[in-house]
Amino acid sequence: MAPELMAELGDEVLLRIPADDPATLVRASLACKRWRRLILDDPVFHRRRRELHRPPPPLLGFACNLGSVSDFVPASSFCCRPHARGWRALDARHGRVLLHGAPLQVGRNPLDASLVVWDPVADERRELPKLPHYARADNQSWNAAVLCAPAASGAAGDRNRRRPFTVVLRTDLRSGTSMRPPFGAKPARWERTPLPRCVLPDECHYKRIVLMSTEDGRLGFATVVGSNLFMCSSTVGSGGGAQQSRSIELKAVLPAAAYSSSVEVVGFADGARIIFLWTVDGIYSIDLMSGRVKKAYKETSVYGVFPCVSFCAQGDTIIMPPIHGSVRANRFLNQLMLFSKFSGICAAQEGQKLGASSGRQIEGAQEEI
Amino acid sequence: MAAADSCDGISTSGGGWEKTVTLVSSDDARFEVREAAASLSQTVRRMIRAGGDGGIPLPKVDARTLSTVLEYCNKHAAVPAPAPESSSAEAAAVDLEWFDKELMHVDLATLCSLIRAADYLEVAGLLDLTCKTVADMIKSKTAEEIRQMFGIQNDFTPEEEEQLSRENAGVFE
Repeated sequence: MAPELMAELGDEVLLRIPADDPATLVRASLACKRWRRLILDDPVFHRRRRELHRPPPPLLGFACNLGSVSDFVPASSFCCRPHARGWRALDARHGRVLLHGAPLQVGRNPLDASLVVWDPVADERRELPKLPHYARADNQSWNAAVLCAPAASGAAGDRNRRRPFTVVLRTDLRSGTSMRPPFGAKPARWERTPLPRCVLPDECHYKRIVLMSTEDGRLGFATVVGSNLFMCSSTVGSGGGAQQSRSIELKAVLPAAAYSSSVEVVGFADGARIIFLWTVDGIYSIDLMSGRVKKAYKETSVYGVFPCVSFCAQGDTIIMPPIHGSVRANRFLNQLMLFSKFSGICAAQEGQKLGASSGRQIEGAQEEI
Repeated sequence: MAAADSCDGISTSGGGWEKTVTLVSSDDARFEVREAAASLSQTVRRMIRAGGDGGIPLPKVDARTLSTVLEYCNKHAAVPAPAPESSSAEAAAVDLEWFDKELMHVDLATLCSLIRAADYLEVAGLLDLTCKTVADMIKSKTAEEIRQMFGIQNDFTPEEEEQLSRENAGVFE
C-alpha cells in the first residue's frame, strides 16, 4: 500500500476495527509511532471511535414474576434485590422497574393496590397515585409501562438516576392515561393521552411474541417458530408491510438440557439487545450483538421477564410489556407498543405499521374516559 | 473504461428518463451517470449545484477506480420500488449485501484506491465499506504483518520495541 494512504486514511481503517476486538487495535498501535500516538492519545480519534461503536448500555438485571413473588435478578454488582412478595413486575426500562401490588396487610383493600416505580440502583421507591377506578377492579384489561426522558445534560453517572420518568397506563386496549411525576417530586395525577397504534402481522396470532427494536431503531418482534428464534422488522418509511428477518437456530446455540420444542421468547432488553428465552432448564439469554448465550435464571415457573437496562440512548423504541394473567384467546393482543413522545427517544413514526396489512389493528385512545 | 458500463443503472422513474450527469476521470474517461447515483458523492453533488457544462472533472480519480465507485453508486441509488411484499424488500437487502461483498473481492491496492476515491468523493457508505474490509484484513495479524501489509516503516528504536513487546506480551500471539 502506498505510504501516503496511511498518513491520510489509515485513521479511517483503524476507526473501524470492531469494538469487540481491542487486541487488534493494540497490535496496530505497535506498528509505528504515529499509529501508537493516534490509538493511545488522540482525543479526536477516541471520540470518533465512540461515535462509530457506541457501546450498548449495560444490563442492570431483570425483574421476573414467580407466582405472587417478584424477583429481581441482578446482572451487575451494584444492584440490590428487592424482597417483593406481593408485588409483581409490570415493566422495566431505562433503569426503572414498574411494580404493581402491595404486601397484604390487615385493613388494606387489595383493590387499592398501587403502582410503584423502583430504582434498583438507588433502591428508591416512588408510589404513584391510586389507579383510576376502571383499572382497579380488573387486572386483566390494563397494562402499564415506565419510561424516562433522555437527559439533556448532566454527569453521565447521574443522568439516569435523576431523570424524570413517565408511567403510561393503557386500559382496556382503548384508552390511555399517563403521568409524569419527576423523581422525588410530588407525582401528578393521571391524565388522558392519545396513544399511537400499530398493526401486528398474522404470524403473531396465537403465538407468544416479544416486541423489539432493531439495531437501527425500527420496530420488530421475536418469536419461536419450530426450532428457530425468528426476528422480524418493518422496513423504514414504507408504511408497513415489508420485513427483514433474521433467524437463529436454537438447537445450535442452546445446551442440550435446555433445548426442547417448548422454548419461548419471554423478554427483550431494549438497548442492550439481549433476548430472553424460557426453556425447560430455566431462563436463557442470547446477546444478539456477540451471540453469547447464558443461563440467566434457574427457575422455570417464571411468567414474565423484564430486563432493566441502565439508560436509554437516542433511537430507543419504547415497547409495551405484555398484560399478565390475561385469558384472551388472541395472545398477540397482550402485546402493545408505545412510542415515547419525548424528543430523542422516538424512533418510529406514530402509526407505523408492523408487518402485514392484514394484521389486526390496535387503536390508540381517542375517546373520553 | 467503457462509459456504457456505468450507465447500466439508468432507469425510468415517474414516467420519464432520469437526469444524468457526465463525470470525467483523471485520465479523461467520461462516464454518464444518473444524477441520483452521482449525488451519493457529496463532492459531485456540490459540483452539480455549482453548475457548468462539459462534464464534472474528477482529477484525483482514475477511470478504473471511478467505474467501481459508480458501480457502487448505481446499485445503492437504485430507486426502491414500494414493496408491498415482504419478501421483495428482504431480497433487495440480501442482494445489496451480496453486491457489497462481491465488490470488495479485490486486492489491497485496489481497496486503497477505492478508500482514497471514496474519501475524496465523499461517498460515506463506500468509505465505510472499504475501511471495514481493510480493518477485517488486519484482524489476527501481528504488528509486523500489519507493517508489511501497509508498507509502514517501523520507526521504533530496538529498545522501545523491546519495551513494547514486554508491555504487550499477550497480544502478540
